[in-house]
Amino acid sequence: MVLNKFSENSKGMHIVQHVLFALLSFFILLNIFRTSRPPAVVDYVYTALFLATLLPAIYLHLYWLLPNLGGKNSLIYYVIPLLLVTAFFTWVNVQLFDHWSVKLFPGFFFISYYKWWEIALFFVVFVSITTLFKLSKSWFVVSRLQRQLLETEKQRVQAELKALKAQINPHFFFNTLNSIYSMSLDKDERLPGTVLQLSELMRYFLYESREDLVPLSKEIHVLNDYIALQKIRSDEKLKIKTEMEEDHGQQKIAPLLLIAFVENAFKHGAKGSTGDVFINIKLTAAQNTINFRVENNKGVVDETAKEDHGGLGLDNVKRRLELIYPQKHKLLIENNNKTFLVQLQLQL
Amino acid sequence: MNKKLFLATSLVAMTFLSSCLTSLHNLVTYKSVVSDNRITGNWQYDDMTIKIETVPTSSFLKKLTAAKVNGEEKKSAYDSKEDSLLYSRSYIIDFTKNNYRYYMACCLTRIGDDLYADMEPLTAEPVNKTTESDIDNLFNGGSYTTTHSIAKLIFRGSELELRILNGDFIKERLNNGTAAVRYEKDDLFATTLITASSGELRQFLTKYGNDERLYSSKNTLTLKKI
Repeated sequence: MVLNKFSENSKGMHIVQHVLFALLSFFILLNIFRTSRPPAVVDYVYTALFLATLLPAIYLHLYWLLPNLGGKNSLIYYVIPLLLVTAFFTWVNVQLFDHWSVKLFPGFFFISYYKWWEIALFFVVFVSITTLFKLSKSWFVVSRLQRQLLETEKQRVQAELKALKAQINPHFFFNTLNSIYSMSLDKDERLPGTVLQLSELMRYFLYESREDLVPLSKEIHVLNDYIALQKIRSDEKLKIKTEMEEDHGQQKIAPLLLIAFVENAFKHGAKGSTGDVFINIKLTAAQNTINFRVENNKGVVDETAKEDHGGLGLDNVKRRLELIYPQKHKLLIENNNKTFLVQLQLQL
Repeated sequence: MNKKLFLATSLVAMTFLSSCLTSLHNLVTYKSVVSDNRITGNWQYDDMTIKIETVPTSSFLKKLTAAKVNGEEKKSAYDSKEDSLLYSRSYIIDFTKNNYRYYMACCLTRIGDDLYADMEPLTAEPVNKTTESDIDNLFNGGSYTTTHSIAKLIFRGSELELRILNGDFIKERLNNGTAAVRYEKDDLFATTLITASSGELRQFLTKYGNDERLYSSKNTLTLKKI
C-alpha cells in the first residue's frame, strides 16, 4: 500500500521528486551564497528568499509555458511570456532583497549580492536546467510508451495470427475430410494410408504450427503430404508437377504459409475444372530467400469455380505475410482467363 | 595583517571612539563623491579643535607637494586619475591629540537624502619635532593598508553631528549570524574588519542607513562650529 503511493508515476513520487529538487537547489544556492563556513543563519534566510522567487518562475515555465514550445505561435505563447515571467520575478527578487526584507525580516541584515542582470542569469540557468530535466524525463516516458505500444502491437498481431491460423485449419480439414469421405464411399484401399497422412498433418496443424516459426524442411514435408492427399481424390486429368528442394538446413518459416497457396490451387483449379488441369509447384531457395511459385489452369470452368480466386484462404495468407514478413516479401498474383499464378519471394 | 595596519585601523578608535566600524574598502569612490562645504572650518569637540579643509586648499596637500618637489619627485600627489578626481573633491580633517597631529581624508557622498562621510587616516606626526629627520610618522616605514570609518553627517545649525556606524552592533550581528556583510575576523587582536566592496557598502547603507540600531549615542560625535 505504502509502496503503491510511491510507485514510479504516482502523485506521491512526483511530490518526492519536487521536494528533492527544491532541497538540492537550496543546497547548491546555499553554498553559492554563504558568507561563512559553516553557513550562518542569515545565509539560510537569504537562500530561502532567493529560492522563493526562483521556484514560481521555474514552475510557471515548466507547466504553463513549456507545453507551448514548438507550437504554431511559439514566439507569442512561449518566448514573450517567458521573458515577461523572468523579468517579473527578477523584479520581485530585487524588491525583496532591497526593500521588502527590511520589514519582513527586521532581525536580519543583508543585501542582495547580485545586480538585476545577474539575478536574471540565475533564472535563465535554472529554467534551462529544469527544462532539460523535464525533456529528458519526457523522453524516458515516450520511450516507455513506445515500448508499451510495440508490446501491445505485438500482442495484437499474435492474436490476429492466431485467429488467422484458426481460420486456415477448418478450411483445409473441411476439404480433406470431404476427400476422405469420397474415398470411403468408394471403399478405396488407399484409405488407411490416407487417414495416417491426415493424422500426421493434423499433428502438424494442431501442435507444431503453434510455434511462430518451423523448419522450412518440415513445412515442405507437410506440403508433400498434403499434395499426396489431394492427388488421391483427384482424377487422372489432374497433372501435378512439383519441384521442391528438400534440404534447407536450419532455415525457418512461418507455419502453414505455403500450404495456403497450394490449397487454393486445388480448390479453384482442380476441383473447379472439368477438362485437363495442371498444377505446377516449384520451390527454390537461395541464402535466406525462397521463391515459391504455384500455377494452375482453370480449364473449363464450372459453376463452382466462378468463385473468385482471392477467397478467404488467400486473404488470410496475405494478411499473415504483412504481419510476419513486412517489407520482406513480394507476392505476385496473376489471374487471367486460363491460368492462376502465384509467385512469392520471401526473405526468411 | 601587521601591526601597522592595526595602528591605522584603530586610529579613529584611538582618537575618537572605541567601537566604530572599520572597513577595508572606502564607501566613496570618484564616481559617487560629492562636495558639501558646510563641513569646512574649525570645529570644537570636547577640548579638541578640529580643522576641516578642502583637499586642494589644505596645508596637508601643500606640505605633501612640497615634500615631493624637494625630494625631486615631481609627480602628482595622487596615485591615479581616479584618486585625483576623488580627493580633489574631498576634505582633510586635521586635529591634535596627545602631542600628535593627525590628518585624515574625508570623502562625502549622498545616499538618498542623507550625507555620509568616509574617513581614512593619512598620517600622524609628533607635534614637538625638532628637525625633519626627527619626524616619527606613525605610518612611516613598513607597509600598511589604511582602513575606513563611515559616519552619517547631520547638520544642526552651528553643530555637526557625526553618527559613526556602531561597530559593536555590527560585530554582534556578524557573530550571531544575522548579518551578511563580507568581513574578516582577527581573533588575535579581537578585530573585525569589514571587507565588503564600495558598492556593497553603499547598497547596505541604502537599505539600512536609516535603521537607528546602526547608530548609538556613544558613537555619535557632536562638533560645534567655532
